[in-house]
Amino acid sequence: MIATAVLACAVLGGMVGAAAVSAKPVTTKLSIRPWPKGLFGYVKSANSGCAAHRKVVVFRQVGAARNPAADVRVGADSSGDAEAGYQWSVETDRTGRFYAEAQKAPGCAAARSGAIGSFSIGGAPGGNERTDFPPCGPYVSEGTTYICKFEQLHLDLDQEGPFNPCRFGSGSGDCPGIATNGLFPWGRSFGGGRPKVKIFWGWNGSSRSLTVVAYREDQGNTGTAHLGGTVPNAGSARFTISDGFAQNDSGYPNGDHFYTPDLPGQTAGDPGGPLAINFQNGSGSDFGAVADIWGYLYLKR
Amino acid sequence: MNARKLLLAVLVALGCVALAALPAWAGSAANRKSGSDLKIESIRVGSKAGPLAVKVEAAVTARLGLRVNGQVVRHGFQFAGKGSQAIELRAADGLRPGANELRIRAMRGGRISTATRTVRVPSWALLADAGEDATARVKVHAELGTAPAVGGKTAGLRYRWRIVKRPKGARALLRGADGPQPLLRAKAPGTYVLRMRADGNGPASFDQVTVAISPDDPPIGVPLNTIDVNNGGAIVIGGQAYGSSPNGSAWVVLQRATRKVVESGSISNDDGGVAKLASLSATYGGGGNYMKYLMIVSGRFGIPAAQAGAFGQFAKSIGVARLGEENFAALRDGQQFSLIGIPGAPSGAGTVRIPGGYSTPTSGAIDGFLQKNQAVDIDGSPVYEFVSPEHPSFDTKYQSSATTNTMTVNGNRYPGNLPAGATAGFHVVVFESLTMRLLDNLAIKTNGNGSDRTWQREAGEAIKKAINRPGGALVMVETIGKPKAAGPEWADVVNALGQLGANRQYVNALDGTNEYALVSRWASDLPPAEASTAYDSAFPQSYPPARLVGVFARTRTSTFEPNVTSVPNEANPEGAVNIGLINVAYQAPQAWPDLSPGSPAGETAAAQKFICEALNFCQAANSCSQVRDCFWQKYGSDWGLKHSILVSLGYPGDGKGFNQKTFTNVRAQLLTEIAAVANVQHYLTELQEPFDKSATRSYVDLQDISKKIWDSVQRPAGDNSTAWLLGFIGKAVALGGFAPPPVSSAAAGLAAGFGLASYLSAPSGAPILGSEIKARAATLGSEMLDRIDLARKTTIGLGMLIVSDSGKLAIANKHVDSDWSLPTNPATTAEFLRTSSKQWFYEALIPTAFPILIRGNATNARSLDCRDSNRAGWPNQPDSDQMLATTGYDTNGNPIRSIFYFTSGIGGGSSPDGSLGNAMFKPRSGPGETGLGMEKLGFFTPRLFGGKIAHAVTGFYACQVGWLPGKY
Repeated sequence: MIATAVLACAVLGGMVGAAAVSAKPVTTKLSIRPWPKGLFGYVKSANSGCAAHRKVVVFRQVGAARNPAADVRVGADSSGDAEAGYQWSVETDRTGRFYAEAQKAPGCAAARSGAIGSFSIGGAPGGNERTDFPPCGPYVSEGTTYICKFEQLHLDLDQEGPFNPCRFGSGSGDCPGIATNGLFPWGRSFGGGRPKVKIFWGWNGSSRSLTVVAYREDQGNTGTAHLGGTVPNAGSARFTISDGFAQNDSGYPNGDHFYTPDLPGQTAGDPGGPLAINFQNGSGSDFGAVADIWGYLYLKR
Repeated sequence: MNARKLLLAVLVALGCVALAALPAWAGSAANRKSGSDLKIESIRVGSKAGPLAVKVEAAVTARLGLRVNGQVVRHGFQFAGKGSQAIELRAADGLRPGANELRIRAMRGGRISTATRTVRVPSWALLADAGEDATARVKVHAELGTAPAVGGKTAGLRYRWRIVKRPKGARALLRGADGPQPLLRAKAPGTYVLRMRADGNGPASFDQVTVAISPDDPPIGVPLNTIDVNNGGAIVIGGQAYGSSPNGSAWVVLQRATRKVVESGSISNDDGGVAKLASLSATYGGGGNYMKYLMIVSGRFGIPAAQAGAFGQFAKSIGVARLGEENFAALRDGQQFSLIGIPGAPSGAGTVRIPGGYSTPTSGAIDGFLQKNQAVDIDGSPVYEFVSPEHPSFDTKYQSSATTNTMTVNGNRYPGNLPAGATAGFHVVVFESLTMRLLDNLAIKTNGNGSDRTWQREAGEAIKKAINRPGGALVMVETIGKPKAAGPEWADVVNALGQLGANRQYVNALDGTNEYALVSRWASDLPPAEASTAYDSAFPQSYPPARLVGVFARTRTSTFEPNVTSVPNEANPEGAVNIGLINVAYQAPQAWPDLSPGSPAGETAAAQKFICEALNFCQAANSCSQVRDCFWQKYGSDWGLKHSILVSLGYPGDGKGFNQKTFTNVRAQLLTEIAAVANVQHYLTELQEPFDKSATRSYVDLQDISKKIWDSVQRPAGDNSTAWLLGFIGKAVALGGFAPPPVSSAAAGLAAGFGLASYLSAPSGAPILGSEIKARAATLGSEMLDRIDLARKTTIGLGMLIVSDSGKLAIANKHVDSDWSLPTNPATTAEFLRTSSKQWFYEALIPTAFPILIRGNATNARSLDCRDSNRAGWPNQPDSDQMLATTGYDTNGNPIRSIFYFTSGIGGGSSPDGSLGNAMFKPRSGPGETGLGMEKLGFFTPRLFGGKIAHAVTGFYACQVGWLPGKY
């Protein structure tokens, strides 16, 4: 009943808005993808006014087809500026099939995304495959599997330098920062603190090289862990790891090394797929940025 | 905007504000609902489907139970689409006119959800009773419905039956369609749905019954070969070829209940072809088709790289576990491949064979049988599953001396001789895991002439090189002599064997006094089979020589891996796995002997028929047509009683189509065979009985163990546990192996039975015993017993298999009376099962409450200096919950010892109670307090702690594990 009432609000609200605007509304496209804490996507339109600050509502599909009148409203967000476009995100731990909808706005057409299947953290949409791997770290080689889960690494990044914002769209760059969430030793230090990090990128032939280094809090610029690899472009979520490293208690260079095999059909963040990366530039006066990285790594043996 | 629109806009705005201001409880109520695993979707009363039809929202892995007015409903829910299950109820299920209380219980992952509903059912709706869903064979009369009660409301009812659904074009005869119990005789396999209409004085009452008509297959099933290279790569099922094509891939969709092929064909290996496969999977995995179909796909030319992603997604959609790098490389290279899966099923339900990286051409064909799994049914019929008949046996130490060792696999010998001058080393035999082709047979020296450190570095390299082969090699390792680690180079040996999943502490324990054996597949998810003579120093033990005896079985990736194994000892020199029982199940078929040699065939047949009828077989409906067919078609009959009846059956006199001599001969032969059937049936039944004896006590044990563990720590919020079910069987085998016969015979029989059952699936398609389960402590015991119950039901299939063949029956019968004989008192067997279950419960529950395994560089966890005077690391860690073990060697060959312990974090509040370690690790007998006799070296391993371990380093801030949860 609540969903029906919400829809009534939306539809009737749309009618009111439509009465005020007579020009043909501009087409808007809406995408939806999973991330560890829920769903996110982009709003795209030829008119940036239709993409920016657009309200996006996420529904959990109940029947065979998308039907906002009957489906369960999961949450809503307004689209904000990000490297790959105007991004929205909604946190949810529910499973099922989801889609997003942006209602009509003055001069802008309504949009609805396709539906994606249920997922768990890093799990494939619609997939039922095994995802309960042990966490990545320096001692995976002493364990029982060669696949490990790289739980969400959250980086709070500063500007590169004075008046030099941390923008992933730049051809190259390096931003310092702190890991405020993540696994030891990438996101937590030996002593339990939050490690300093630095992120480097540049062009590497046809793709973009990307390296994230975590530093031990008590040893200056000695790196204790890193993720090195490539992303196809600044807006891509696919972070292919050619060498991930986690230093163990015997000190550098001892520890486990990892990679992502990028198996066909596996999306970013799936086991066997590249790591998923979500890089968001700062906005307004914030010249820094934030980045989240998650997925599954394979042990080099 | 006119006034009307303005008013509307204001109302909209007010309404939306009101919605936004809805109290929080509205949302939280919805959340609670979504968190449940059960929801009643619909209830229909008095419909054409039956008196009462109930459909619920529940996952495929949820096990549902239903009580009607307090009475347990015996027949189960059926899948009714992804996320739905349904059941049809009738008067026999406890329904009565008026109000009926339905109580549904769902158990999934240890979580129990219930839903209750009161439903009014009018008396007229209960008049029709089509009986329970049935299964029958083609061309055999199946009696349907139920006998109406004499008098009462069913008196004077008019009945009408009709077939409302049948396979396309199938012919079936329905006799007695105007009575309560008609006979159905179908000529083609498939699913038939019949509707009964009962007319009395009120509205018509309806009920439906589903009859799965299966083909005339013997218990072993029907041969399956997924690639016939001589017939366009066709999939061949029971001699019938499907989907041949010159350059494409073949596919078949068949009903799981009847193996009736509903569609087949071939695809070209391009976008359109792979899309066709995905479309078939969606069709046969959705709605009412969910979990009811099997899909087989095979090809001789791989899949091009451009279609690899879509093909990988398709494979997952039929329950095939994620394909690996080598699989995709092989597909890209044009190698053969085969997939068998269930559209829509969870991962792990499918079987795959894609030979990647092999040096010589290797077939991608899956070869075996489609066999009925007697433990799982759909629409009342056991489902067909793929079963491999291959069970090669192995022995890692068939013969040995101080410098030699001989292993065997399926009777083939693989000798290993250390070079001159060497006094100890490893015997390593490496096979291709798909084909069992020999790749390497090495005797690797580790000790002898004073260059031990150099030799050991070379040994590590040699082992690493030998085992790291394409396709994930199957490796057997046995020590020769008693290797002695000489220095830091030993770590290379440890790391190499660690890649096979070896317990590193066992390998590090090779200090010149111990032996070790291992059988494992490289990169396997399954635990290896291991044997060691090493023990934790706190409780010295005396173990038999490290030697592994057991069988291999194909996994769902078609690779051979150790299935059930045991360590032979003095009491049981052959080991505690009944390899004979495994072998007899799949030995070559042997024809039955002539019932009366020399007699005319017609006379023999007449005599056989007379006896068959006298035994109450060979009846008009729901029966079997010959005594020997009845052995397996009526396996559940009381064959001891049948034997008694036949003993007292005399010659009926002339005029029956046979003379006395023929009758006497036929009777004598059948008496012999029926006695054997009764014997084998009794053996297999008795084999399972100890579980009944131990079950209740195991439940009580679990409650005690749970309480003990939870009382020692604040209850964790998410008390999920992961346990390896085959591990329980392994413990039962190990403990049973230490007992003298006949208790050890019971353990050996159980091991063989469960080893064979590990091929078969639970209703969700996952292996019954080969998968991990997740359960809360409160329901871990019931999860275990449910799985074991499934495995027990599969022994019915094993029994049918044995009694269906002359050779199998004769050999099994001979063993039952001698070396397979069981204890007369099943309670003696139950006792070791109870101990095994206790050990298994501890292994499953401890890592739930104390999930962190730490290795520290000190001799006691309490003495680790974490450089924080106010916050010591683990000041309260009891000695009983720690283990000191060798983790390396210095340059002088002296052992480096580390402390291992389990906790819930760092700090004084993270340690367990000392009583836990005492209960687990103290010996089972001896002076003073006794325990379960668990070996610490086998417990303090990453395998039991979610595959992870942390290193604590003394003398550093927070011992370098400051990232663990702080519990100061």
